[in-house]
Amino acid sequence: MPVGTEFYIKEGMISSELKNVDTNNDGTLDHFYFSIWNQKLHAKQPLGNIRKLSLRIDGEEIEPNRMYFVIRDQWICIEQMPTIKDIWWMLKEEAQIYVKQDGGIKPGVHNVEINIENQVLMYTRSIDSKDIRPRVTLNLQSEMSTV
Amino acid sequence: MKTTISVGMWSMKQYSLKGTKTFDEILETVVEINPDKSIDLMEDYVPCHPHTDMYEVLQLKKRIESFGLVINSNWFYTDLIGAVYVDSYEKVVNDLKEYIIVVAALGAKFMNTPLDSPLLPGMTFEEGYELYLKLYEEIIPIAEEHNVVIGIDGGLEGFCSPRTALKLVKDIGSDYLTVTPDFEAWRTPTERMPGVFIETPDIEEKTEALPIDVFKASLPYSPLIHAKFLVFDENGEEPNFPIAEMMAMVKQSHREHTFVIEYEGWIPDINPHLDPAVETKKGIDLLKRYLG
Repeated sequence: MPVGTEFYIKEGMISSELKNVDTNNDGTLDHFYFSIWNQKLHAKQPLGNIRKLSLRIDGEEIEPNRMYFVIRDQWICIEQMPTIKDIWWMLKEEAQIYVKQDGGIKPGVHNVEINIENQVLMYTRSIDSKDIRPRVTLNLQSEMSTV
Repeated sequence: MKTTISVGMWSMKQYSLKGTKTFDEILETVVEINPDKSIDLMEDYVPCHPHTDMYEVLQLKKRIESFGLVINSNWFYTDLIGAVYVDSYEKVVNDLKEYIIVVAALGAKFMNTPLDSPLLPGMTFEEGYELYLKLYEEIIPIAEEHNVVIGIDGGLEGFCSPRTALKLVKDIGSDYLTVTPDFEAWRTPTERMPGVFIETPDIEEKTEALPIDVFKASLPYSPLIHAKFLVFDENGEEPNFPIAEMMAMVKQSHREHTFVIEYEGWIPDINPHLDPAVETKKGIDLLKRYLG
């Protein structure tokens, strides 16, 4: 049981680049994304262990139905992520957070702020679906350049 | 009194989280710093989730043994009260039985199940305790069958304290259920390191150490001891814990003990800039100095 107030090693947890992509190969950019690495002290957990994830780009809140957590090429809409028990995010594993946006994101530097609420029900295989334990919140901010 | 020192992978975890050492490099480091060549493997490093891959478990055992290391114990996160409430009693029992088999396949002697289960609102101590009794009574036959000794790690306050672990072990009375006293229970909180824990922010802040008598009373039931360390001073002493008193008691003990070094000073709240291996080695040296 670690002492203290930090549940993550924040340094190096998110990338510094936003990448535009054409996911359906129709010749038009339709999403942008950045990478995130699992640096939770208790790292290996089902995705549903993340009870809530929110994202602001340049101060604008991104709607959850436009966001996807992508891991090992599996796309999970952020809205459904708290239900996921059988897809696990492993220790130090890279995942991507995709945002659906026609035309991608404009070139330049953008302020990215991500908030993750993680359960502290410390039974690795259980999702705290009844919210019986408090949550810990991670806030990460970064200036990301479009590439 | 015979003692062995095992290095908990928790001590080395910063390397994995920051990506500064591979798993193999961590094993090499443990070989260099621990003359007893023993490790405690936490579940983050075991291919047991979401479903156990037994081939990979056996490969992992071979890989660790190829470094000349022995896996002495394994550690699983076990908020049993919480898990039973959100899932079911049957699921939790099945998980624990599976974990025991994983531990046996790794060739480890001990499986640690921390008592990190704050009682639910409205739940009495007796209700929580009865649930734990029932769970352990159900899994002990599997532990016996596979020759895996279960340790209950208590290091927090109230229900989660070593007192509860000791009561459970005495009440059940099986050699396959033991107490794993965690030094944390005997730490005196300070302004620099208060008695708060990130994984249990809802429990009462710890303000004082548990009486040392509880450590002494646990020893006859404690083949495994979790030696948490946070910081070392210039003399190699750890001022947060009553090490001298505890080691004097261990020297009087009539049973064999293995200490799992859990150096925790690498976390963001304490000294993340220090090298975990160097600090872990200080913990090993400290225990060897006291135990001779």
